[in-house]
Amino acid sequence: MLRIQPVPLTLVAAWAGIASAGDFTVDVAGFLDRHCIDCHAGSDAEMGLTLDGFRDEAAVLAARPGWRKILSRVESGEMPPPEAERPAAAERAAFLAAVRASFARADAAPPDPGPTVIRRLSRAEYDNTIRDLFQTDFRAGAAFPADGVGYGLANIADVLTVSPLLMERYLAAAEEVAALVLPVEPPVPVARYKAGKECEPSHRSLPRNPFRRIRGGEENPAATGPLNTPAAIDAAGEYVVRARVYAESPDGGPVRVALMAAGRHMNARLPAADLATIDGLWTEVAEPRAILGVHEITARSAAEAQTIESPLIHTAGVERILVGALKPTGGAAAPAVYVEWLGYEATRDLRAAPTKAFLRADPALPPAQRDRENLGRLVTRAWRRPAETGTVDSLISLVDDAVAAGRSREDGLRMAIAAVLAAPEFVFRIEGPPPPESAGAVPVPDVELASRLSYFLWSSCPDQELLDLAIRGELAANLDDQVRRMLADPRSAALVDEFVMQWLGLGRLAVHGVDADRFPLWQKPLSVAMVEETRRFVGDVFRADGSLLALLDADFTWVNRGLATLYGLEAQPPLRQDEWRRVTFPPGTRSGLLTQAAILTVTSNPTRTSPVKRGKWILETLLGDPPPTAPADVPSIEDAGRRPLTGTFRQRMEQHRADPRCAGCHRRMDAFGFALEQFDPIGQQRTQDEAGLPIDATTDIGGRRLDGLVGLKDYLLEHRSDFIRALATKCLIYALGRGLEPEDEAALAKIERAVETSDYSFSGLIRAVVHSVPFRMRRGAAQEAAARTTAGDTP
Amino acid sequence: MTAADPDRFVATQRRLPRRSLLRGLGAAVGLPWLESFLPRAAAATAVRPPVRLGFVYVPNGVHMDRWRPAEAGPLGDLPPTLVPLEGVKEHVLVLSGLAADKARSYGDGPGDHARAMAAFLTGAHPRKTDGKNILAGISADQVAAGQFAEFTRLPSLEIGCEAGGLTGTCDWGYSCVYNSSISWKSPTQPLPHETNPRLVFERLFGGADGKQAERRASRRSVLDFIRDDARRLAARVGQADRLKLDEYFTAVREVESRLERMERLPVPTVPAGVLPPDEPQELEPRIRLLCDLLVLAFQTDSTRVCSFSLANEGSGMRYENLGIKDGHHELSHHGGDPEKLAKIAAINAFHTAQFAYLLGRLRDVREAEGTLLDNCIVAYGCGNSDGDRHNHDDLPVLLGGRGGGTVRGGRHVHFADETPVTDLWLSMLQRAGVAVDAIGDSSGPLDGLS
Repeated sequence: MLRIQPVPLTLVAAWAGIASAGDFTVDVAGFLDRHCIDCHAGSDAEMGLTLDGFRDEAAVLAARPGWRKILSRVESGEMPPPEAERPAAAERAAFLAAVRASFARADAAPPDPGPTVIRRLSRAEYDNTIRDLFQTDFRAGAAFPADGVGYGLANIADVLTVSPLLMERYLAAAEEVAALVLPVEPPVPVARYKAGKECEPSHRSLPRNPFRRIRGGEENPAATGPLNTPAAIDAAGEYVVRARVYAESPDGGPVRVALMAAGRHMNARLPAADLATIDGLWTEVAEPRAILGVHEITARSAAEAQTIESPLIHTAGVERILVGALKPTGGAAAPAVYVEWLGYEATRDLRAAPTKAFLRADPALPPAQRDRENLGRLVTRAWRRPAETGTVDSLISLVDDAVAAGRSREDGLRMAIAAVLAAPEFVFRIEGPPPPESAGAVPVPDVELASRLSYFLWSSCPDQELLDLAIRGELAANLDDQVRRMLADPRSAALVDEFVMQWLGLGRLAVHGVDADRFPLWQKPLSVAMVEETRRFVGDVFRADGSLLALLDADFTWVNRGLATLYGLEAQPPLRQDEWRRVTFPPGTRSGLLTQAAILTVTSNPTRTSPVKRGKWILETLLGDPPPTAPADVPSIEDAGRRPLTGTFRQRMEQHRADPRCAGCHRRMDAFGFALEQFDPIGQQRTQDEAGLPIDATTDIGGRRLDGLVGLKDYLLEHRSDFIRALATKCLIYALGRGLEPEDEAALAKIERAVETSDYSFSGLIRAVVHSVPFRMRRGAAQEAAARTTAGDTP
Repeated sequence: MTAADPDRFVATQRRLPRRSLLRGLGAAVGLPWLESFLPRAAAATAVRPPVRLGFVYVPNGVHMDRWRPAEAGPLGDLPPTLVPLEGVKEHVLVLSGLAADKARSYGDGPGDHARAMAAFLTGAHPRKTDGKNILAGISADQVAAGQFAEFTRLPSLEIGCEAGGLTGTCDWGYSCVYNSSISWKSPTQPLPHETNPRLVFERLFGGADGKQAERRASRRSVLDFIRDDARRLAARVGQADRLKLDEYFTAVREVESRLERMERLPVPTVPAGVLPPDEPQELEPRIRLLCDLLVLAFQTDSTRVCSFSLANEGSGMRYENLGIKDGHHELSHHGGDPEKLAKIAAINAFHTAQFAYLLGRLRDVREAEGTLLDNCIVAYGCGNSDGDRHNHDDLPVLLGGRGGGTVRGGRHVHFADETPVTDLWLSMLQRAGVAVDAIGDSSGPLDGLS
């Protein structure tokens, strides 16, 4: 819990942002001199933290993330350490308030959105973008060399480079996609037509006349019809049955002809009464029939023969199609029907989805205009901004040149499609420079904002709606609606699959090793299920827009059979193979991510738990407080077994930790890890350690005693602002594709407050990031120039 | 039998399915170097085959006590870790005393794995960063590749057994690119390595199906469009973005010049069914398949430079084929524990056995008057010496091949302590005819290799 301290009046003034430099010297520099720099100065500073350089406000602001930690340690009383002289409460409060006042002043300064970076699509983004452009599941990314990783994330601009190898793969992938869009061998349209005289029932002599006559009342089925022919329809879909006919009516009455389908296993059967309306002997063959449609025939001669057609939708079981006359009504004479042909054809568009996604222009347009329209649309979607005429001109001349060189127009179009997909505008997300006259921060243009948004929320390109809105310049005004729509879209699963999974560092589980002799439950399917559990769990919280704190303290998770066994759960009813079920744990036994198998496993060694790794993971991932790096000459605490140590693993570690060079950092790091000692290296609950000695999961953090999992959970919930800050930091880095700069601190503080006021909801975090200055704005021209001159050290 | 007994590990080796096929392939595509492209009369006159350069990296240091021969001079009884090299030892130099000084912390704290890999071939101190402004130096293989580019279809080949870029910070504040990249095209551009043998094969020999000319024409049209596009783009982007785009357009130019080279240097026709139908999942068959592809690449003069990472630096790979359950990195922090040391030595011996295999395969290929190995120089080593201490001096380094008669093997050469390992790269490159005076922190070419 935050401790409320009495705040002297002068500091109230400081909070209001009117503090003078004098306060800083007295309250901050003075405090550091009196209480900190005895240990934190020089080359042998405790934990590598030197504080003697902070003489003025600018120095503090430049190191603001570190100063947040300092504030938190001083505020909690962890620092100065218990054994040192403690500052008076008022002195401490003055120190805290003076630093916070500096922060507040910095936050009130005109916004600086920080640097804008040009971002190459990551492998996942590439695949998703192709998927959304062409409605196809094309996994080119697997053939791309692995992406670089920065800040634990796979979408960081600086480390996403383009090697010649990747360029080759881009070209090959672009060519492959182009061949999917316009297949060299397009699907053969399904159609089959049979001349009437070749239809069944067969008859002795074929008439020379192309029309075959049928008429009721004759003596054999070949003469009466109905005529029929096999219809080898194996693909479900939409078809049409057609016949070309004319008729003679002896008494001038109307002639009606039915198109039918038949098959032994056909679903849609004809009621017997309807069957009786069909004329002709062949009708009596016992086979289920369906009348697809009845047509009135007005043509009375071969010259004016008419084509009749009826849809055939439900194809299951259809073996034949038929054409036959209806019996005359009211005692009239049977008409003669002349059939030139009978057949069927698929009406469903059999072209693949990528083809349809590309060929959207009216096929009736002249080819040049059609290509221009199709390519223009592709450029707009793929480059995520309105296509320029010059670009489309170049593409068209590429096609024309190919044709002039003797290639087919389709070949040319395939090259043009490949060119669009290998171009820098596709593989990079390029944002234009700021308006030349702009001084301060300017909003990012709508079209660029659309891409920032879609790659953040979907790891993919903007869809048509988003892009159209942006092109019309209406995105900024409808931002919240769009965020809501996009979060509800299934593509937002990418936030969990990409962002959350990278944040948690679970990619390593795929190559993590466990000694299966000691932990026989450990098998490949289990490790896959572990990651899936976390994905489902976080996805659950995300879709329900639940509290982010549930990630720390939820009493539920998702399990399959393997995980249920691992967790010692008796599922009722028993889980089926491949079934996943949401389960609730007994109170105090499990707690959100902290106890999920994936995380407990990936932070363990193959043969035993690693309190150091678990502690480090909690500090880094959940508290955003990575332990400082160990001095170069200090061996890893776990492996330096040079002195014979005795007792439980924990006791041995503690003996080792007596080394003063290790104690400072490990006291804190290991403490978090020890709280999880009741979970073994694959996340099972246990009461004995690897050596068979009883588990001691009590621990001490900053002078405060924690008891195992429950104690740890309570601690983290009390430090929820650190947790939210850590998550918000990662989320902002992910959204921006770059590490954070001191000028981003103001935005971060705002995001943190917004998350608190949104009851820690997932969507609250996303909205706050979307609305943050660095996400929605970019530096003005003058700001950019100034930043370039100060950052002299960057290459 | 102890865990360190190398025989035990030899016994568990499995043979790669279809190995014989791939060996056969050597014969099918093994145009004796150049001869098929030259008029017969010209081929008859001796043309010296080019010297090819290989750089094989192993991570996490080695158990030096079982690696270092007792004395300098001719190689007699080999130390346990080098025993697998017995059959090729006349072609091998064991080099002691070399150091990767730039892998040391220089005030950057821990991160020895990241630095060891990134400094090994570059001789540059990698900048400590988790993602922003990656910086090391140009690696020796890429210096050579830059000068050899016009002679071969591929300027260089980068292969490895472990993909890079797993999510997460890989080593104390260092981006994962450092400990997964041995080859650096420029100080800011680490090169990824290919881990999939099938993709390596396709890169080397793909597309030899009679439609190459048509495909090249198509690709050239695409590249033309992209280049024209660059001009438009330049007007629209800021200065920082231009740097990033430069990288892209450099890659485009590389691909273009490769297309040009492909016209002059056609892809050898390779019989179908050369690769096993499924990518081998087990480690040793995978390594050996990659070795075979490397040999094939050199043999067909598809490239003259190759780097091969047997694993990324700091790798936690488990060598279950050796019956070892612990991760390599964890074991490398042995703390003097004899059991861990034995396992480390076993892993080291496994790696040298792969190197022996590679050298043996190079020796199997006839070239000009001798063997392909005669015209190669293949280095093998690590930027860490003892994995427990993370020291960067006294590195374990081997050199295989005769370098066109410029290297004399079968010896253990001890250099003065702190001799930069980059001096070795410099010596290798100069022997291969690369015009270069310095690589990273090199001080000059080494004496004692010939």
